[in-house]
Amino acid sequence: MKTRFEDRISGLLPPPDAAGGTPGVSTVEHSRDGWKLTRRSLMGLLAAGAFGRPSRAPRGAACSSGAAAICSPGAFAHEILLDSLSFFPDGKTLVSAGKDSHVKFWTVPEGALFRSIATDAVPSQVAVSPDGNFIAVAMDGGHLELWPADGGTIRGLVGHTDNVNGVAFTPDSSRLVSVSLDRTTKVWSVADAKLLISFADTAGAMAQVAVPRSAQGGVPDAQGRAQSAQGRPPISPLPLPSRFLVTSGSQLYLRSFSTGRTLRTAAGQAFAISPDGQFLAAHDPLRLYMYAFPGMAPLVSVVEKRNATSLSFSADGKLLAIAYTDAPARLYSAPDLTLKHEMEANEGPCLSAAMDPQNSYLAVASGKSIRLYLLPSGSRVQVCFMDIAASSPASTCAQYFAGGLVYTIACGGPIPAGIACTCDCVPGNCPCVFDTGCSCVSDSGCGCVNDTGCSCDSDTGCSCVGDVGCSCVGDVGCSCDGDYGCGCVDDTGCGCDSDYGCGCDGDYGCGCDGDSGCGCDGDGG
Amino acid sequence: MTRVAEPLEAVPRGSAPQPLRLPAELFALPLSQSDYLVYAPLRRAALIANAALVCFLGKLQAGERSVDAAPEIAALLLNCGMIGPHDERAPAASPEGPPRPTVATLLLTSACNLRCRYCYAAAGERPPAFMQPATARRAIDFVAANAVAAGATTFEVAYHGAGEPALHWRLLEESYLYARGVARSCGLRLRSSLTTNGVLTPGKRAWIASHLGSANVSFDGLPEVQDANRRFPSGRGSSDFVLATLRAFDRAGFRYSIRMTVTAETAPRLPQSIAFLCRRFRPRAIQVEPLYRMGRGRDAADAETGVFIEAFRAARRTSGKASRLLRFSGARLGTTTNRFCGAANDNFCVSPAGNISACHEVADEHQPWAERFFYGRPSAGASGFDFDEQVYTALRAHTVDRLEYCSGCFAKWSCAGDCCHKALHCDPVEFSGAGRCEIIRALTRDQILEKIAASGGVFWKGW
Repeated sequence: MKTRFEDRISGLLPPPDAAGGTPGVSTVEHSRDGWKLTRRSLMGLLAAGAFGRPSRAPRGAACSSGAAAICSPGAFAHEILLDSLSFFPDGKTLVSAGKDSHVKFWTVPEGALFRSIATDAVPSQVAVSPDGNFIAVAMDGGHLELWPADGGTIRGLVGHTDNVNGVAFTPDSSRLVSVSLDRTTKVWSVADAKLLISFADTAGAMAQVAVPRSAQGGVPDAQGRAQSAQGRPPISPLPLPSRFLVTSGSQLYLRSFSTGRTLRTAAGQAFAISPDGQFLAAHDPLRLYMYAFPGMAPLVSVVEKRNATSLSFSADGKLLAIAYTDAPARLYSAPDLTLKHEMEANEGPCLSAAMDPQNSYLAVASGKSIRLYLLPSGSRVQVCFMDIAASSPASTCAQYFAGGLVYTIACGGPIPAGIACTCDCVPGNCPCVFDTGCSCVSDSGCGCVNDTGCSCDSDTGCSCVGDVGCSCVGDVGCSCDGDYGCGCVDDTGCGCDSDYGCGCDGDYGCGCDGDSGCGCDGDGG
Repeated sequence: MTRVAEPLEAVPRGSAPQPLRLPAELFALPLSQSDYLVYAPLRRAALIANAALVCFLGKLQAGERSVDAAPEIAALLLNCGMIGPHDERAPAASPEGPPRPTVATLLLTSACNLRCRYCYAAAGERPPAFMQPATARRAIDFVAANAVAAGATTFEVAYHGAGEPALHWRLLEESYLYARGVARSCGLRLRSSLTTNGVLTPGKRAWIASHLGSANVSFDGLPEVQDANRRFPSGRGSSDFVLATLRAFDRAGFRYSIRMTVTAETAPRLPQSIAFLCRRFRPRAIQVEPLYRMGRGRDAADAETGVFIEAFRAARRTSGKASRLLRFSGARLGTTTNRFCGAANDNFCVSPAGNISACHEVADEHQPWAERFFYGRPSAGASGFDFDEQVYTALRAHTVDRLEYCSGCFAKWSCAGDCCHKALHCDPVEFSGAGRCEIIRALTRDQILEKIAASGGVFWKGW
């Protein structure tokens, strides 16, 4: 007799060696092999009911959405890599900065380019103020500028002596904080573009900065006792816009907004703070972390040996987007850090991800391109962010005037009704045919028209003919993929006329009755 | 001193506290050196626990620890659905009284036009038997009358056989039309299905697609695999015929599934076979089974191996469609039952001679263990059947809660003891599992883990 199975929990002998261990749960996630274990300590979150009833993720959610972008080969948003993305508060405009020394403005979700501004130096980050009135552009060489969103005069913020690595507005949009390779963190007044205070970064140059909403609760001191930031001298007569700021270099630094003093440190480099100021997500080359903010108590950590460049919370704080230089961008649920979706492979390093403040879209930089995804599903939006000036010479686009601006959009992109098209998706800016409904959208055919160009060798079963399998109508021997003939073997004959024993010669039934008149069945041969 | 654990208590909003207990059916499967899959099948709940938590749960269940000291764990278990206000009830349903089936499986003939290398019925080795029309009509009348008596709205006629039912075509057509007439006169709906090897003429294909409800077509995937295993008596391969049948069914929008047998030799090609079928056809399901070592396959190499498990997993990974369609009969997490199949539930398979077997695999009164499965015969009168109470009572008793061998297995409430006919071929004296057990356990474990992964990665709560 075989040995019985004994999986009962009380029958585990010997019991698992758990001496000194703390009861906990780990997680499992989709992978190429169906599932894989991810070691995380989630006990606290789980016991606190943070997960509620789990939502059912779509099968294969870890895989690409499979949607094809409509960008044709050679169509790009920037000439060189994209550095940074930022949404306006209404979610209808996306700002991009690239190493081609341009900052560009795009409509969302149409992807129409309507403004492109050359900068004096290579921008490293753009940030739109929470009230939508200003854009801060951090650049190499110590350049830092404030751009009024209404097109007013650009103002330089003079003070940094080396590359400005990062900028962040305070939640009330009154101040701008910048970090630089010159090892200073500076706070600026937005209203008058003046430097308010400068902190020395004794631990080294900072790469990123963020200013959270004023959080409740104190920050534990070195002894773990809560301490309040109240009572410290304000840096200006204005009310303090926040009690803390966070910068990152080789690790995270939670600092007093008023003094710049480091209150806590924690592991992490790229990071983001949730809109409600309750959580801080951070990534270093080894792990992804979720901290309670501002206490910086670690809640969850996941082993992720990837180089994250940018983290961004969704407006509702339930999703976290992460851009990686060496891997596809990912969408995690927050605060539990469960992988929800992995985007398709990058076209180049992915240096930025930005969440729409209206919680509808995620924009991801991918090499020289911008990709747009729907939230919360993470499915790709069929849109091409394209600047004809940054694209290959053979590329085509459509352009149209509206509201005094020229909009550039990829061929096939949506053009508002009644708008005159100025370029008909033909190279060389050929004259436009007015009021024709913009035939710019006509060249997106699938290629299967008239059975020309149908790629029957793809593994989709030759869906060109009504999805019934290749162009094998009539079963006349189409060999669309060379191996098994696409199923077009002549199926009109019973086959009893050849070699396999229809003659009822003792093999009990050839099955050739009916159409071919063999009549061997049913009567015992 | 051992402390007796108190029942856990949960206080749902607006209600009085209710005692909660750890599931009696609680299993832990090692996943790695420090991680376990903790699974409560009757609560349909699972989570990934570390060794310390498993240890704690074991002590809790044994009454050596109290949950009072660990409110965090109590909250966790409530959250996961491991404990809760619902009772943990093991499925124990069993028919009572004389058999009253509402589904007739007509084994029309033992004749077959193929000579598959592994045919469990060894079709073609004996002179074929063909069912008489009166036998089919009697069976149809019987199940229809049972449906009416039970207040059911449907009854079913299934065409199966240890042969190719379409070779007794005249009776297939006639019996179906007869059943349709009975259904009309009784005010019932008729459900119908066919299991076929797919070697059909165009006329038969068209008739099947326009009359029957569904079909299960035996096909082994890649044409060369099919041609090597499922041949005509002359040795000619059958793939072109079956492919044409599948295409015809697709064109007609007819519901069909594919039944695939995997041998030790063809297991490594399973992923290719599945990819081939998924790309070209639109079956509702693809059921994959390792070769049964019985009939003509009794001396074949064992296919119930780790190679099969890995091939099955790899096949599921070939595409999302494959993942959705692929089935293995023993791994069915969605099912909670104490019986693997209808053999313990008065399955009503009518042999060509008119006798009643509980298993379609036991279609011949002379094959091994026939005496354990044949439990009825036509009555002396013009209608009805006489049943052997001793046989059907023994069959009804083959439930997983009575199988000692299965008592400690985490998969027992979904596998339900697996196929008792196949088990007899392994050990006719006492059920002691088979290689299929390892397959079932591995694939069921995969299904649980995938459920957890799809539910957020932390736990799965199936209710």
